[in-house]
Amino acid sequence: MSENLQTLTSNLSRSIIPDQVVLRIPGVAAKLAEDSEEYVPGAISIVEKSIGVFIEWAPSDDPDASWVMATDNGELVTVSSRSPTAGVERHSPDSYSKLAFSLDVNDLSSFRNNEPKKGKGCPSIRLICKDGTSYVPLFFKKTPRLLILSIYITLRRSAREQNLVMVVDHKAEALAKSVSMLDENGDILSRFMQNPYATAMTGFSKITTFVQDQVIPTLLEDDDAVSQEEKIRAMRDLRIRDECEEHLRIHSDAGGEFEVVTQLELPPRPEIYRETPVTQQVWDSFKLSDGTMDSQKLHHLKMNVFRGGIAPELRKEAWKMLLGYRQWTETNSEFEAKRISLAAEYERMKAQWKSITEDQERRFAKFAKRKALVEKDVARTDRTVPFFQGDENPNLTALHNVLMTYVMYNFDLGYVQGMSDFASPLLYVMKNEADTFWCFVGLMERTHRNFEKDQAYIKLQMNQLRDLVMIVNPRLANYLESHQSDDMYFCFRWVLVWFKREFSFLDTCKLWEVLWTGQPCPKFLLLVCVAILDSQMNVIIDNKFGLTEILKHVNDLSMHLKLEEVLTAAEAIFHQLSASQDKLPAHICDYLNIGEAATP
Amino acid sequence: MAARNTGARPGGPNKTCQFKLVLLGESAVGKSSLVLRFVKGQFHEYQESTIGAAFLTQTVCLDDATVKFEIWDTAGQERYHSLAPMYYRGAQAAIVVYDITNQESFQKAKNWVKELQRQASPNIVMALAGNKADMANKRVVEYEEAQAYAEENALLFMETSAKTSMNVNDIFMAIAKKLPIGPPQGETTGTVDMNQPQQQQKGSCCK
Repeated sequence: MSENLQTLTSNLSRSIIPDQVVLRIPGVAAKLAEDSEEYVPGAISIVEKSIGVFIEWAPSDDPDASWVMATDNGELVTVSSRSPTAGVERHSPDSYSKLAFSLDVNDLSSFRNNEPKKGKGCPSIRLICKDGTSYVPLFFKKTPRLLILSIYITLRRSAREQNLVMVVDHKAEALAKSVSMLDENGDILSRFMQNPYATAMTGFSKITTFVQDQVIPTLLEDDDAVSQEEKIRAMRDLRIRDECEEHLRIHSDAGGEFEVVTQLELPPRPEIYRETPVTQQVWDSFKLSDGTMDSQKLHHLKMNVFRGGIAPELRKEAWKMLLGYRQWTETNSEFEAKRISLAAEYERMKAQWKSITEDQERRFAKFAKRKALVEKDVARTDRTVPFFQGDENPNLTALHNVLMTYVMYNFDLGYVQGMSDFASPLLYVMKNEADTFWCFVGLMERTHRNFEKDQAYIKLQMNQLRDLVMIVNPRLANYLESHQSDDMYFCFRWVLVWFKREFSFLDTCKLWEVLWTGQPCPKFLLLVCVAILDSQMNVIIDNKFGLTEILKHVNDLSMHLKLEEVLTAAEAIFHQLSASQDKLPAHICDYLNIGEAATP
Repeated sequence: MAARNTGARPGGPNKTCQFKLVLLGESAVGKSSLVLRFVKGQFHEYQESTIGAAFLTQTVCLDDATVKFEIWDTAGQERYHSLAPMYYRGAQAAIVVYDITNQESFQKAKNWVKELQRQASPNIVMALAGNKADMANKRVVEYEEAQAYAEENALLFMETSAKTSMNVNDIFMAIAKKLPIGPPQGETTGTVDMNQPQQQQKGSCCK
């Protein structure tokens, strides 16, 4: 640690608790003066002292600390403690050390951050004090990770000025606002891609909510010295506890890479018991004499399916209802009539593509393209499942027919890889092309947005997943963020085909019928993702997995997951969140359809 | 780019170099099968389609170095094209695969080559693989045509068969030999090229 800092700190306090540098980021240059083009290399630190928490910057004496920086107008400037240009008069090292500052975070009013424009320049921040003092801008060699600041202060992006981040009062209310403000700005992921620095800086305030609710309120109110000291001690204890548990690297010089772990204390996970699958007998007990489902008991029935799935022999009947092919309120005779007319409708659409000759295809590229894709994928869908084994298997033809007819039914969407994964279990259960087709139509109603060209819905789900992980397991969320994995794309396959590739064929059937109930919340699929990720936290973190290893590990979980455990954990997480709904940010309640936002 | 420092090769024959390699190409041309053959020596006639991406590693030994490939196997379908840059960003090598029995897939391969020339790291080592060479009776893309194209574009070129394993190891080996095995190039300690914040990949990755 820099001696300058030591001197500064010893002047400021007779430490009862020794000062502790909780974060030090080297490669931070200060502009020598407003009108100067000279930059002084140094390091920024966050230091806990008995009298408070300080942000400090000091010049670096290290001759190796020099680096080349591009200014906003694209010029390259050498940041060096040694004279770079012969003949140009340099300021004395004295003027450098005068730049050093130590600022109590409670005196910080706001900071302005500037991102490189179109790759030119480098990220910089300017700290502004409550008394109006504005410090010289600090230029970062690498995008800093100052997440830790959020332990001490609450940050909020100015409504008027994008680059201005305000320090707001330590009130949970203000925090909640900050969270919703972030969301108004829309897709955090895409903003992060364009603007990593600003997003990181404002993103901190999200987490703060939870520290604030649980830990800080009693600590931040008082300003007298004794309680200040208690406050620091308590915060440090908190942090040290986290550190011990979680091996945080505190004195990280690796470009300021640093994890801070904060937690909304969710209630303990309740014990969840899964039930046996719903049998024909149980299913029939919910039926009225005309074959409709008793609407009074419909929720009860869905919960039964959610808790245990459906007995295999009942699937053929039950899936039709779960997928909306048969309405819950449709009588036997009504459905039979509809079924006949829909089967005719299926045959009509099937005849359309069947009648297109090879010669026509040559001048019908869009059709030929879709057909080629279907053929390629049918040949390699679930071929290890006995139902689809063998080269002349008629079930392959049936699957092909269903998918081709769907191309005619929804030509704009066409065929997209992944659809054959959705269709094959339906055919396996229905054993009838027309029924399979209409069930597939029902399933695509729920999932077609996954296949849209812009992939926006997948991105949205990834963002929602990240937000949920942030709440359920912030330590993992922070780890993923610091390992370039918080876009969650390693879960792409899970979300795209609803875990079809992760579980055995029969387990997939069970998982899907559970999800189709829409219980206990519409986004239960994402909670299943959260449950699995949560269970893999130690493996990911203890092995220090990076982006590639995380993807590989997640892919390799395929066929090694235990469905009942996963469902149990996901349901338990739902209950945890549901019990904490008054503390959850609004968008989370929205995903889960709980709290005030809930619609029946 | 700065000239490669060929003066010093510390570490002798035992140094290990790590390179990121990405496989691109149309759907069902055999990208995953090539990787599976290369990494595990296996072949599945009905290899399922790749959703998202798969990541595998394999190490090959050259005379003076060990090369560890970090292989990104991608989904081929057009619809998932927008994900590709995420996988080829920072790649030091790419294998663009087509199916010799499918003309369309050769055209797609050319498009991939163009995209990589435009968007990928400028010194990426590219190879073109004409896969399914065991199905020569159904061939529609002539060897000479592909070879001429590869020469024009300075690509390594081989016809391969993941099924028979023909040329599979060879194409990876040929790539390994073309990769810059030496101390990191182009970067002086402590400097950062601020104009290319996304591409701070080192030219070579020896440890």
